[in-house]
Amino acid sequence: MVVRFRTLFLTGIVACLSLESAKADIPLEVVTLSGIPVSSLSRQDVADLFLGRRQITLSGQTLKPVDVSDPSLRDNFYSQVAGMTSVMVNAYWARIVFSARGRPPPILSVTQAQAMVVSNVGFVTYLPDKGPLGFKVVVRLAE
Amino acid sequence: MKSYSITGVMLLLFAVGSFADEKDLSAPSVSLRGFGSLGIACSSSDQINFIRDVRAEGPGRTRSCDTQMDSNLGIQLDASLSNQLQATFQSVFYHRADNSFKPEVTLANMNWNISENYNLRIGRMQSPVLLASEYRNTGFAQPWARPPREVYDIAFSYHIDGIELNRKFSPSNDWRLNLSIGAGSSGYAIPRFYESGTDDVDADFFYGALRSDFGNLRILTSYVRGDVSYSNPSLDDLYDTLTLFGSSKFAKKIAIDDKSFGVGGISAQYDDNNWLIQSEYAFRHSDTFLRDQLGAYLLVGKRMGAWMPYAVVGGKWSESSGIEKYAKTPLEKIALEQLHALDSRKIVSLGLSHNVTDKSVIKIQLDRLFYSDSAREAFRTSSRRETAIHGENTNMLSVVFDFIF
Repeated sequence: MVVRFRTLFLTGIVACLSLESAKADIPLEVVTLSGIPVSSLSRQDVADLFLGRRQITLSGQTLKPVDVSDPSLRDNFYSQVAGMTSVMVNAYWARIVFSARGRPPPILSVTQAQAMVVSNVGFVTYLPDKGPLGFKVVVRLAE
Repeated sequence: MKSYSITGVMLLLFAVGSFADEKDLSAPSVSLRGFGSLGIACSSSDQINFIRDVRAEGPGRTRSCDTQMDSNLGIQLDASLSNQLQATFQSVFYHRADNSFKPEVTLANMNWNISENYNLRIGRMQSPVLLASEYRNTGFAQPWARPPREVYDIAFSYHIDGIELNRKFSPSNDWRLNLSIGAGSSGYAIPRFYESGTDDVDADFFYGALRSDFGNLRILTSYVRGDVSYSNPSLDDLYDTLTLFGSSKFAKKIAIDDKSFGVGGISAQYDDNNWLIQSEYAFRHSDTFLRDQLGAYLLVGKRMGAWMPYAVVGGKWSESSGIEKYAKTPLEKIALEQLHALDSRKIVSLGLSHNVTDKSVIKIQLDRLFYSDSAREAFRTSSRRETAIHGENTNMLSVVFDFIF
């Protein structure tokens, strides 16, 4: 019985190591306030930033994410950037918050989020856009 | 740091923070969050009550169905005092071992972000022994109706009052490591075997946990080492009897009185937001009459829109800790035989979860528990003193509604 369950456990480890995930194909648009593309921020960078996985520095500035409360925009953003539904995002943060291991980014309305980014260097948010993704990521960098 | 004034801590958090304008992100702020579960579980057994960690008895012999075992409510206050300093206070209401619903303070700590890669926590926290150890009360954050006790009962990790240092490493953008080293003490009450009431467990320990995140894969390894004490009137009577008959040395050897223990865990999780595959292994050893315990499980889940069917296969078995060599006389051998519960069992669970809203989920889970013919599991009831000789299998059906706010 001990051998059988150790085999079971090892099977689980091997399964975890061999599965692969799919990535979205539509390019993510990341721009500064003046509309200049920011190519150094990848989709993974944006996902990691908004999910608090790591700090990202750009042009000497530590980026601070600002989340948006608009449900459809938020759902679309996390679906395209991280492959996560809003439930998954909420469960993800629940694991962190209720362990006292971190805090999610502040959640503001689209107008407030835009004003926050306009007023503060280093802030990043996502705003509605008519492009194929339906949003663009906007970052305020130092002039 | 074992007693907390709930009112005092809440007032402190409100005094140093405020419900600041959300737009002023640099100002101190306090936020209120919470989680809860409403559950009903029904067991086919009429011999044994299902026990979930340190909670009061669940369904089985005493009652077929139970609505309290899987139900709880947690309230959490978070204060961001500055970019470097945060405070957290969490209190959870659940059906406790003493049959009350008194709130338990599960988190009460300060976190200091020393630098980008170092942070220090002081106060009451949970130790990261297994994947769900730190949020085991937050059903919404977990894929199942309750953590598999085959593993989570072995690596028991309730609150610790102490200090923890965390160090982050990022060998690459895709690979993140987090090392946690902590030390402290823990005390909690568990339902008493054979009689009504509760017994106290106290432990002082240190731990280390290394978490590795690589893409969609997470590996966690942990080890806890410390001293544990457990007091129980029946055991005290047994020790006294052994002493009376000249076996005081043996009684001291087997007693759970400031004795060393070790708990280890290895966990792996793959989650690409489509498949969830998770496997954990835990072991425990102590220098007492308790047998060494090993447990493992494998969970496989597949997300299909708002639904996720999942299956869990697990098992727990016990092995000799080597204490038998100290039993020399017939009395000592009989005493050890009585104390050694052959707690070996397997479980197969099938479950289905459905996202009701983006902050709530409902789960239905069917468990099939298999006990080996030689297993002997004591059950706790408030009025009986019996031990069930178990060779039969048990079914349990649970429906749980988990939410956050």
